[in-house]
Amino acid sequence: MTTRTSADLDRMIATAQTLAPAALPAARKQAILDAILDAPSPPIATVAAPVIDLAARRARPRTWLVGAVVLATALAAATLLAFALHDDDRVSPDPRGDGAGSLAAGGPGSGSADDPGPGLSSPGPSGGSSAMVGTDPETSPMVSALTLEARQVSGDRNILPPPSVRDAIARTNRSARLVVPLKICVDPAGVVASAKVETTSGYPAYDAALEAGVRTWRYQPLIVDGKAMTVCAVVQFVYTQK
Amino acid sequence: MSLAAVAERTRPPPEPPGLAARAAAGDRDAFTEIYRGHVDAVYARLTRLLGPTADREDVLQQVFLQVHRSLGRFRGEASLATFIHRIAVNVAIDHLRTRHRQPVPIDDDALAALLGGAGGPDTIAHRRELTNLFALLGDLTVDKRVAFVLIAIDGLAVREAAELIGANPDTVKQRALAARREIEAALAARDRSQP
Repeated sequence: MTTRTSADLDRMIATAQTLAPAALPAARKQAILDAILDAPSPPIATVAAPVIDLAARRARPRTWLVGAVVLATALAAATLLAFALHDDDRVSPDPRGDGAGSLAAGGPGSGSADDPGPGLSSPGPSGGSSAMVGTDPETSPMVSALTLEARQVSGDRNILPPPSVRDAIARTNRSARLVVPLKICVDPAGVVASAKVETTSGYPAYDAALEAGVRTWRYQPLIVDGKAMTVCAVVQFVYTQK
Repeated sequence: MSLAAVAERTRPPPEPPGLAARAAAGDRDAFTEIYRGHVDAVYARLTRLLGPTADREDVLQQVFLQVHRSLGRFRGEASLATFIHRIAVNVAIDHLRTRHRQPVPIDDDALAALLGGAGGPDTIAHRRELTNLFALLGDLTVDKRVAFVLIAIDGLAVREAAELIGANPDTVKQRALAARREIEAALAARDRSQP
């Protein structure tokens, strides 16, 4: 069986190796070249790898770790409380299976008085966890821009300054290179929950365009231990105009 | 065709000195020369990495747009061909990752054109084999797929493939071997399910 499947695969590979290399029509090649050369001039506006502050990078996981420990403790306590309340609720109506239960001892009024307890406790842990587990941009773990980039599913990464900014640069009669680091946080649904320019480009309109443009990006959620997390990264935009 | 021959086929001639620097400085003719010298090899590589799908031309344009924007960073430490193919492989990886959940169907016309339009039973058999192969590749993770294609189909040495991918050679080798095992297992399962 193995020999046969190996032979099958080798035959497929041999066929794939015969794929003709120059199958793109000349007109199409030229059209692609024209599109590249006629791209908005100046054409450079790219997301580059972030400049990583190693000291900050070392500090962040510790902050995150402390947050995680506090969070785990809070979750455990809330879960125990929920179980306790839930148990009371389940046992108290009919502990003996005869329909009397402890309600009989507490009287008719105690049943209705007990109801809000379990009812309220249920949203507590679940609501609390979704609000706390890695969804706060301030405490969310930082990842590299390349990690995020690999998970991007939509959104135009070529965010150019608005014409007013380009004109303003052109009027200076000097080439300009704008480097704008921007911190973005992606929530568990893959949506950019926050985007903030860390160092202004000097042109508020370009800063605003970057923040607005980045907010349209969508990602595959980052899964940690089976759970989608909010993660943040610093992406750096470099725009040059000659 | 030997593996070495496949690798050789994708290796373009060396460029005149200073061509990349002129293109980086905005010389359109220099960039045109670079583009014409490499477009076929890059397109062929993308075809093998992505399969004969209709989105290859978009990816090709993206590759050369990125080359155009990145030439200023080219220092000549590797050949210009390596620089361009490294960009091509990484753009292809990104593209495969974004389309992983929504596989693009194989373009039958493109497949026929790639096989040279010779006609006859061999072409039909080859078309079926290629369709099967790209379907099997589509079930692999992107990393394994790219490592397998570069080494097994393109015929690159492990070190060359690792250089293009930007990963450790041992890792790339393991990915390619794992890909082969997974494909063979899928073929064996298919055989078992067929009477």
